[in-house]
Amino acid sequence: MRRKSQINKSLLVIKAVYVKEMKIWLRYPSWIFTFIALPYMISGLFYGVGYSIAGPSATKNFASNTGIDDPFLYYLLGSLVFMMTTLICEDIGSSIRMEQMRGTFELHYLSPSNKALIWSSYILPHGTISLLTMFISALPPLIYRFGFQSIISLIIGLLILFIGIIPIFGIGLIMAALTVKYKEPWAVINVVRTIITVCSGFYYPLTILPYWLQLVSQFVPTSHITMLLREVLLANRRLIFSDYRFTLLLFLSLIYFVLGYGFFVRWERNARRSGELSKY
Amino acid sequence: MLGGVENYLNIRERLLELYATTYKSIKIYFRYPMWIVSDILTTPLWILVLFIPILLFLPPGQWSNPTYIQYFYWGMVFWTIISSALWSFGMSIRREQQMGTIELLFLSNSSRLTLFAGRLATRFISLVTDLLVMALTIYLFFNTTVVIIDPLLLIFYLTLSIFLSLGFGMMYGGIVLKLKNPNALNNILQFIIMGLGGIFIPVQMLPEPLKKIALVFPFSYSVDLVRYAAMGTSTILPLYEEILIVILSTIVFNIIGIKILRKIEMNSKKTGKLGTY
Repeated sequence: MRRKSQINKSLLVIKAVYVKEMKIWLRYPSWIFTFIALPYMISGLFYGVGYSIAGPSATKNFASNTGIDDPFLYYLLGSLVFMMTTLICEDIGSSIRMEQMRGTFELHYLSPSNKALIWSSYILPHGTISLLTMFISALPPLIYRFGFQSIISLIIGLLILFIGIIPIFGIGLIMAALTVKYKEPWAVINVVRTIITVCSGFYYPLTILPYWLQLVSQFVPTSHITMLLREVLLANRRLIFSDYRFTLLLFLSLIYFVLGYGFFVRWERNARRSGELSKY
Repeated sequence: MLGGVENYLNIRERLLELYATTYKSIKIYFRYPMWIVSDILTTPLWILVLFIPILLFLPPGQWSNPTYIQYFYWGMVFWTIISSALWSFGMSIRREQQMGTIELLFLSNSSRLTLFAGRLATRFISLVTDLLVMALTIYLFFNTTVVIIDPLLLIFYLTLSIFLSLGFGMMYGGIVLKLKNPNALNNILQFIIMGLGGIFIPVQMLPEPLKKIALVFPFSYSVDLVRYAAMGTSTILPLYEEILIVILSTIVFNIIGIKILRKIEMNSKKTGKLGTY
């Protein structure tokens, strides 16, 4: 009985965070529209400029450089993973920072709710918006290109993304801890985000990078998400769960989540001791 | 008349206003030195992220073609100029709103243009830094040296482009006062101008339907003049016609920008929506 009431309380916490964050999202709907439109704009820019300089042999050159014959979908997919990464990483950090700025951060610590549960719940609203905008963006061109067969591939793609959200959330928690500790660490976040972008191969195959950078990319979870998604959705290959990249993605998801969470909890413990929680 | 107050200020007082806003923005800029370091570190990486996807359309043997690389270089410079205008005006208005100082600023008889253009000073410092860092990056990664054929003419055309984007920024700043949330619109506008304005490659190289659209954007002509001075490329229209178009557009954009800012400010004051965000 007591256990049941504990579960109910936890669900209430999750619901409260979800409703609050979704309410903030829906208050500025122009952002959601931007997230749906931006992948098309980025893809259109690359495709348009590339086609203009290379002429009729553009698609042939692209296929021989990347192994994929549809540049528009290639960039669209890369842009979607890029957007999702940016969205989750930055929003986890900025949501917690906003609580500090609005003076509501300390109030969470006065409530009897489990703090770990509160901060972990943030993944759900931001995950919902990311997956939803990605789905709306990707569905029409994929159906247009591959027909309704692509829906099965899309479901597998969503599974990869779902797993992919976990390590990104871990990175987001590290960024959140940096944000609240150093107050204005956007500069550091900017560097981290850029390194992730370069090493993830959102817009190019990783094989064109120097060998040492390819090795670094193996430790960046988004590089595996991008590669797996391209194979499933664009090259129409079935996902083999024994594929080393899938195993590596699962492993990295666990590592980054534990690392991010540990980092945040460590900062939180220190902040409680030093009274830093309310300083901004 | 600005903000409903008789505009009797002389040039000296206007210059004092400009000094104050520039001083404020430079002080804020240097208060966060990590941002400057972060910009210097990330600019070369963003060049790779933006250049490589375009180069994938060419055979690998042409990835270091100096003409294309220099087209992209000047495209990046223009990207910085246009986004500076959007973010300077849009964001400085938004920032003052959030800090609760916009009402106080609009109670003063200062020029609205000066109030928000102060941030351009830091954007200019950032532009010069970016120019140098980007030139070094393309030299290191693509083995291409940026050659400038006529430096004086280039400075003139770049200055003209900055003033053109200033006018555009003002028109946009007025919209920000109305919309409140500029970030989303900034991102979209940037890509529309970049994609349709012949910024990264000369308009002559664009496919036919895009070429016609590009000719409507004044930025297509200003970037064309910059490429002409820097690389010696041929211009879309006869040189003097292009200069005339850019100068006229600059004047028109600035006049419209000031009028829009003034009108929306008056409306916001009437409806009491100035400080709401």
